[in-house]
Amino acid sequence: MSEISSDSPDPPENLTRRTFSQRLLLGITAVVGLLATVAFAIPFVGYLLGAARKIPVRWVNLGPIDDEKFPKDQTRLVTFDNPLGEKWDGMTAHTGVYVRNLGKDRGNRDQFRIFAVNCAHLGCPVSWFPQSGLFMCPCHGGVYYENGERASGPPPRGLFECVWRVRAGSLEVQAPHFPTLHNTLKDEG
Amino acid sequence: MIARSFKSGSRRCLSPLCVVFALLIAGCNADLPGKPNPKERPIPAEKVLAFDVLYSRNCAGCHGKDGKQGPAPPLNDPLFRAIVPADELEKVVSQGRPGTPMAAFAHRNGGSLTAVQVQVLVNEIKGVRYRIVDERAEGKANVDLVADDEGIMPKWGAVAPAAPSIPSYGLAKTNGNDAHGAEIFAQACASCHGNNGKGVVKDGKRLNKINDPAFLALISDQAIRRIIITGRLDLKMPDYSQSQGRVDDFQPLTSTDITDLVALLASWRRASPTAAE
Amino acid sequence: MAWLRYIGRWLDARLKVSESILPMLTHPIPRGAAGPMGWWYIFGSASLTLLIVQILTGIGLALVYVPSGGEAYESLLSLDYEQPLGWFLRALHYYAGSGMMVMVLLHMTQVFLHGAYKYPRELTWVVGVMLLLCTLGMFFTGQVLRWDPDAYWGLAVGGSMAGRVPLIGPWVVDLLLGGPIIGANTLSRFFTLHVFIIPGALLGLLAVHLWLVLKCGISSPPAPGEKVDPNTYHAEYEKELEKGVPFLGEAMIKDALVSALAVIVVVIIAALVGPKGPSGPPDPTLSGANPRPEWPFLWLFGLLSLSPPAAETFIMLVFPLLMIGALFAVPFVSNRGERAPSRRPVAVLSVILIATLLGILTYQGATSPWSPVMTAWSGDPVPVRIVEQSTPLELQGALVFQYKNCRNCHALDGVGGMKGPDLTAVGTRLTPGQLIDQVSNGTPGGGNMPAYGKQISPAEMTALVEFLTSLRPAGQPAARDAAAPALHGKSQ
Repeated sequence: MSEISSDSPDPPENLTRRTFSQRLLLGITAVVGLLATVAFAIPFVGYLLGAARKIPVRWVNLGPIDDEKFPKDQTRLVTFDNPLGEKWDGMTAHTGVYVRNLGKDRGNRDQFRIFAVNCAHLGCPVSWFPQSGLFMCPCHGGVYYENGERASGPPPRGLFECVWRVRAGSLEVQAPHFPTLHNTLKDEG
Repeated sequence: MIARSFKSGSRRCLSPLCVVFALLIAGCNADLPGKPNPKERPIPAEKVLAFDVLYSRNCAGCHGKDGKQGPAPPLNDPLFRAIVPADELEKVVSQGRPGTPMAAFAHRNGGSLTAVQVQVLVNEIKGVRYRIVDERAEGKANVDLVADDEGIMPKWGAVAPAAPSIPSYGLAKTNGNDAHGAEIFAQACASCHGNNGKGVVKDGKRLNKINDPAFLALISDQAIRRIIITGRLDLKMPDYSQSQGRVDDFQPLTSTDITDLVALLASWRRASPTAAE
Repeated sequence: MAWLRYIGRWLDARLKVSESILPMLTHPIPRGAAGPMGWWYIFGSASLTLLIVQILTGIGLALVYVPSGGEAYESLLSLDYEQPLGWFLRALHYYAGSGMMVMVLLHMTQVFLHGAYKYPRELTWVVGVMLLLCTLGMFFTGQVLRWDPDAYWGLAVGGSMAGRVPLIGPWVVDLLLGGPIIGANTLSRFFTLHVFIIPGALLGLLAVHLWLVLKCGISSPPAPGEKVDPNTYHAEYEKELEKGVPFLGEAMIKDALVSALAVIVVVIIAALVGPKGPSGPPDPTLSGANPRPEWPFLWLFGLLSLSPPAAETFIMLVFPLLMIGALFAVPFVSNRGERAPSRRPVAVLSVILIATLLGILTYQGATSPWSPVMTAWSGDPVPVRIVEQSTPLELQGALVFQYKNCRNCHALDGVGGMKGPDLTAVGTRLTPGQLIDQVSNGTPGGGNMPAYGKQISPAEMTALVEFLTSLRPAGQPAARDAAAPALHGKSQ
């Protein structure tokens, strides 16, 4: 180690060089470190956020429109395996929707109403009681009328309605995701 | 010193520990109370085939805890069980009785019971011993019920076949004669149900009134016929043949008498303002 | 024995246990904390012991459990019925976890009542609150791994709550569920949380917590009049430690004894009661789902259910944050002054108040009287007493009562739903006119009862009202319309 004189106006040249090279190394390490962090973090966080990816529209065939399966002015629970899930979902992929056949409109086209089973309050499964024409939720007692409208209890809105279409005499429903207040099953604007 | 105390302490601690371990390992074979019993595995409502459970969840509300003393006609009634046709039972359980408070219970009618579950109820009520054929283990989806003399004994016991003298369960094809019905009513019914079914007053309350538009609107002709035949022994109403409380020379009601009584009540129903239903 | 001592010295020369861990164990603690008052200090170590039980049983369960949406349920059944003692490990994991939760809460209450969170132990408290949150997190995620209808619908409730977050709600739901539906990805997510993320955080925080306990020292039992003053505290505490006793002694014996007792208690409960659930296969199309949260969350379930709908989103999303914030703020709001409970009536009263409120809400949550009983209409018999004294029309009315699902919310003789009032004596309270109005219109403004006006025919209404009017204890008169002439009542 060289001696440093406190009263010398300039630091010795080798120390300056040393400080410079140290700072350079520090700077390079900082830049490389930042690069490494970004190079790791961007794909990592991107992977974590992948769960929120936009989901494709998938149609599920609920079967031919006949009186046996969808009797007019009646509500039936129809079940299918949700194609939005994974192959290893097992029975959790089982999905139920309540289908109500409203009969034909003026243009002789079949009209339906399809509701998700999830209560609009906190997502519990509502049951359909044909005798009283009401859907009831077992959690907090939300009640809905046969048209899905809220009848009583805590739900802030009516039941979530699914998008449906008729193709070649069969009723098809857009596979429902888990519906929530700000992410319903159809455009309700 | 620490080591010594640890040693002696360890010996003292070890004996209860050994007991606990012995208990635990014994628990593998000898059952501890907490060991779950595979027989008590929760069964989804759709797969329950035990009559007790099915009945107490789906029927007891109206037909009473043991099939009697409910507001609805008793199912645990020997006469009813003998005369009701099995296919009629199946039809009513599955589809309900539209217009009356009998709900449709079959899946395909929007109810909660599978076809096999309905079969269990039918066999139990009819008193037919049965066996459950479960082919799910063999990879088939099929669960079925077959009559089997060696099979499950219905909870309410077997039922002897109905004697030919008992009036038939089903409604007559021809219309009854309500004028004759009124005569029969006066002999067989009026002592309790009052003249013209207007009831009798006792302690300030009008009892047993059946000539009532709302009452008649909510009960089917078939249910009326059935109650005339079987009575409601659980509520002290006599059946078609019992004479107590009736006129002295009471003869058991015949099938025609009952048809005419049903016609009488139907004529009261028509006369009432809610008859539009 | 000489060779044992030799190995010990050889290891210690390298591991330096005698200069690092031994001083930690023998560090002096205030004499009071080792005396009879020391029994108050046992909850923390009991929590730690039960945590160790949780880690061991958790590892044991992970040897068999399959975190797959399609197979988790089957692997739970295998644990319960096939793996030797699998049921016991599941039971022990549940009851030791419950015991740990209880111990953590008692520990926290003791620290609060003794003012032990005050200067200089504020950070110990803050980390402790984080540990409480981790424990609650373990409880919630653990319930999900019991892949049954309760788990499935519990997730639905959690997802629906998250979905109420303004703007980013849908995105939060997707992240929570791991995809558009509740399924295999959701289970994998909660498995990762339960087995990696939360335990990692918990162990890390626990290390900090214990480090702080060592560095700041155990607080001495509070004495009235001994006030905490940051300027003089350290000097006083040092003085106290000079008269102190080593932790490895009386104090630790108490900890060890209570910890051992705690383990024995949870083992016995597990052996006697057995594992909880699974309550059925996780098939969301099966009827009869009636999800209930685990017991540490019942109070929140109760609070949510009893709050008016307008305040609900606030209680779901903001209120828990406020609660957590309040817990974090405790040592900063009061970090000096008296520590003795006898001189801190506000602290004692808040503990009593909070414990009472939590107790009541938990009871409400456990009984959940606001939940309709979905099978009551077809399964709960009309009391025989009522049937026997009914007229034919009243019997038809009783049938309408059951058929229209009234029973799901209204009990008769205490049996049936509790959401609405018990109607056993409704005939003494409401006149036929009032009954017709109530049934037709429900609760005004769409409150608790739906309007049945369009769901019921005139004949059904007549029979129903006849039945309801007849529901009176023997000898009690029917309700009268206040506007009607009094003569009418007397004439009967």
